[in-house]
Amino acid sequence: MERATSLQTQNAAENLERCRRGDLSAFRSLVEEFQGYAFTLAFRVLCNEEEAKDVVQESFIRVWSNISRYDPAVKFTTWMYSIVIHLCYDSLRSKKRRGAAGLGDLDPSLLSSLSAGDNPERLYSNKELAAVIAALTEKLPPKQKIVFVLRDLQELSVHEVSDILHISQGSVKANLVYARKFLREQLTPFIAD
Amino acid sequence: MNCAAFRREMYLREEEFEPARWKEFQRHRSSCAECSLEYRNLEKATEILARTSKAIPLPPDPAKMATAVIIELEKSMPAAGSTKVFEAFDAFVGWLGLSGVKVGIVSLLVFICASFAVEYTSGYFDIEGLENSMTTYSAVRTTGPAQILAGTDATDAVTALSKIVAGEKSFFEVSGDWVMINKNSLEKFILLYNDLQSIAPNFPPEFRAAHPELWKLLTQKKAPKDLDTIIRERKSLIRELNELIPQERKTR
Repeated sequence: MERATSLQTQNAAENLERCRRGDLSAFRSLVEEFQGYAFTLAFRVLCNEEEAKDVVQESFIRVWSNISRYDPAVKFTTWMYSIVIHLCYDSLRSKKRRGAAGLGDLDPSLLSSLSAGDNPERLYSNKELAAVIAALTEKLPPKQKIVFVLRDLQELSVHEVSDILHISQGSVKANLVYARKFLREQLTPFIAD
Repeated sequence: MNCAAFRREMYLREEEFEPARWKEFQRHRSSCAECSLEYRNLEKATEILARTSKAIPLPPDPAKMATAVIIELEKSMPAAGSTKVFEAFDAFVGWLGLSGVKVGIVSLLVFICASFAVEYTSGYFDIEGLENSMTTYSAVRTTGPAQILAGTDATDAVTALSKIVAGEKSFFEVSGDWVMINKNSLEKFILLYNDLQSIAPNFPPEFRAAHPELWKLLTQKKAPKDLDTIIRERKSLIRELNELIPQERKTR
């Protein structure tokens, strides 16, 4: 597995170098390799499959346009995530806040699968998953939501989140505390014994 | 650590604490029953969130996404044979019957307007707009002028030039150090600037002597540092550019 990851990284580095020289076929490989990561992040932030696809597409166009500015010392995913997040943030801020969903609005069967804990392997459709994440996070301010998604759903380190958002690690933690506290309060009625 | 601090920090995970602070946190947890209960309740919520993080959305088909991205990119790239733009420009100049100097002056007017329009689309701006524009141009250019030329064609260049030549005041107005821009785009700016550089070597020695700053700007190759140097000397450059703007365009 470690070897596979190493090979993947090496492959990505080669593709990035070729992209710098204007090689579109290398760029195609890069998109194919990383679009899943970008989509997962955008999907979790936006809770909407179509909007997430649009953000991914625009993100890769920006990757290509700015490839000469990419610093190979930085992990490609960190750089790519910062582009994705920037676009998601714009989208979150510009989107009129529809009546934010709460856990009370969630399908009861989804809710029980969340709180019962007896079905950890449950597979959600994209629509169901969007509903779950939206119910958990829609009421959070954009910045807290993004920090929460990066750290708790994407499982990136505080250091990586700090790099992606260009904020201090202290600020990451402060936003995390607010977000987790809010979510805990939201979840409390559903997890009471 | 007291209860208030514990309940404030209990939302952090172990790896998010400083090691010493984590020890204090654990000590309080084991010595305070109420805080310990509060922490256990929190762990249930944490578990739900952890379960949510394991659910990965089904991503789009990689090949389809890659194709969609490439199609969008190709739309924004200049078509092969973009020299047609320059050919059209030359044809337009011939059609106008202008001499090299006149062409230079006309193009410089377009250049100045477009420079201010790079960052702004309307309104009044002072001469620092030129510095901003040039800085933007320098930065963007390093990412590949081919991308920036996207969407331009000969029609744009001809339209812009003909507006100046026809004396349409709607294109821009000058008032002292202030220039009002009505419309233009970064693409047009880059295109016309390139055109201007290509014809600059044909300008007569008198032009060079009369407008040394402009000459330097036009004949120096596209090295950002050189442009930055010129921008620092912008006062004399602006003075020369302003001299080229027809008096009737100046509103006061």
